[in-house]
Amino acid sequence: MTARYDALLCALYDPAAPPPVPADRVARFEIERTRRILDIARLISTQWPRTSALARAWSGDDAVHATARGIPGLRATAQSFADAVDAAFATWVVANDATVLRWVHRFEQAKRGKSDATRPPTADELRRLTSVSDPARVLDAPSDLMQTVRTVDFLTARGATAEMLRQIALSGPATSIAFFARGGQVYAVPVG
Amino acid sequence: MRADLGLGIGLTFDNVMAACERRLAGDPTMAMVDYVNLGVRFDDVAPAGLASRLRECGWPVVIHAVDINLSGALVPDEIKRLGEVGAGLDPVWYEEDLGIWVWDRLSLGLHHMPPLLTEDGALRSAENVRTCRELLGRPFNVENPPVHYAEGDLDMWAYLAIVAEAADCGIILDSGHMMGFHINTDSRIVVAPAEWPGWARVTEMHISGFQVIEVLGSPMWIDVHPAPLPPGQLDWVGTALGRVGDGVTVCLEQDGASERVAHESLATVREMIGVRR
Repeated sequence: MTARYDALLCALYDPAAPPPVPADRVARFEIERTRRILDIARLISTQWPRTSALARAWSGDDAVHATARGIPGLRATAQSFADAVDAAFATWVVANDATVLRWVHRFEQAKRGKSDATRPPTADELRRLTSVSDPARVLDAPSDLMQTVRTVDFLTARGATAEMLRQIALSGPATSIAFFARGGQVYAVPVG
Repeated sequence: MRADLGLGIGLTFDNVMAACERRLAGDPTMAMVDYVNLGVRFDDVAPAGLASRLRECGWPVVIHAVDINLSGALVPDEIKRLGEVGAGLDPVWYEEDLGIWVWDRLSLGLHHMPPLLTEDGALRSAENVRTCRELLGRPFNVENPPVHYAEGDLDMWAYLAIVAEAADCGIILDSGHMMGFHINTDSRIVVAPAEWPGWARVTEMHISGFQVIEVLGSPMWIDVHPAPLPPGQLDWVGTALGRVGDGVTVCLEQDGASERVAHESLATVREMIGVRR
């Protein structure tokens, strides 16, 4: 019985898998698979709106589908569905060729307080963050990442086409961005 | 088997203390509530002073377990820990939706799997219910879960009746889930006939909002607890209440609903129950 649940669940997260169900249940299985994958898309676009928009522009549905396919492999380690989506989506992003997408994802992860790519602020940076009481984290980017993020925000808020979003590239000098929480909000501030 | 608790609402440890405070302050919506149905996971921590606050409100407690695989592999240690969390609250009974809520270690939530609707599957669920009851030392009742895809040769009504009979437990009949079962399996929405053997075991009815949307050209039921109750659902509930007979408890699960929706739903359902008393 456990094997049957496993087989169904694995197929429900693989958009290309033949439905392992009787012929008269295929249509409903496809509807349910669609519901689950749409929920994964919802989680991605809610948690990483900028990365999600760039991912769709660069790869269509591939990010969502690859994230879904990654879920079964995380069932022994992730404790919540949101955590599983986080890990599976990050795996897809890291493997993606678009550098801008990876850096925007790092920015959004840092804003969520979940980035391994950040470091504690230096003493000099701390002096510039005098009004910050929460422990800040700093992301070192190879370009002006804040400008890139503002560009993504500007374009996505205006329904830019996929082609326009694909034209976004990292540019400008290297920057360091501090992330800190205040009043329930997380702020990102350039510190160098 | 039945304990007529009246009309309850579904709450969690995150919001139950606020509900108690509202009740004690004379809030008219909370004044319509007779008991609380608390969603509890084995690793939850009850707010300090909750038991005494509930007693002040005069609210008995039902514990709706979260993340127990009644239709798969149980984790006895988690059931015991759930019992430790619930012990101070003196729950009238525990309950949980049938199916698979945790896949290995992954809590599925909205991605839950309903049980395989076979007799073997029903007997496996019944065995798990008996184990839960023994470990918790309290009645343990089963709820028909949300269903988006089903397979097996039984329908949910027959499956529920077999589980409850084999486990000698009560049935929590969720109106929205049952209507959803019919919609999502392309069967006609029905209330089981008076001869359905499960009626005598229905201990509590659940009512919450839902919506029907269209996906891939077919209607799909989705659970939307805070949505206003559709008129057809109240007709369904009225028919079901007539078949249950006296003494059923009704829980409104409208977590996240606006104050207006919650008040209207409670008033409507209270009137439905009141008419029967």
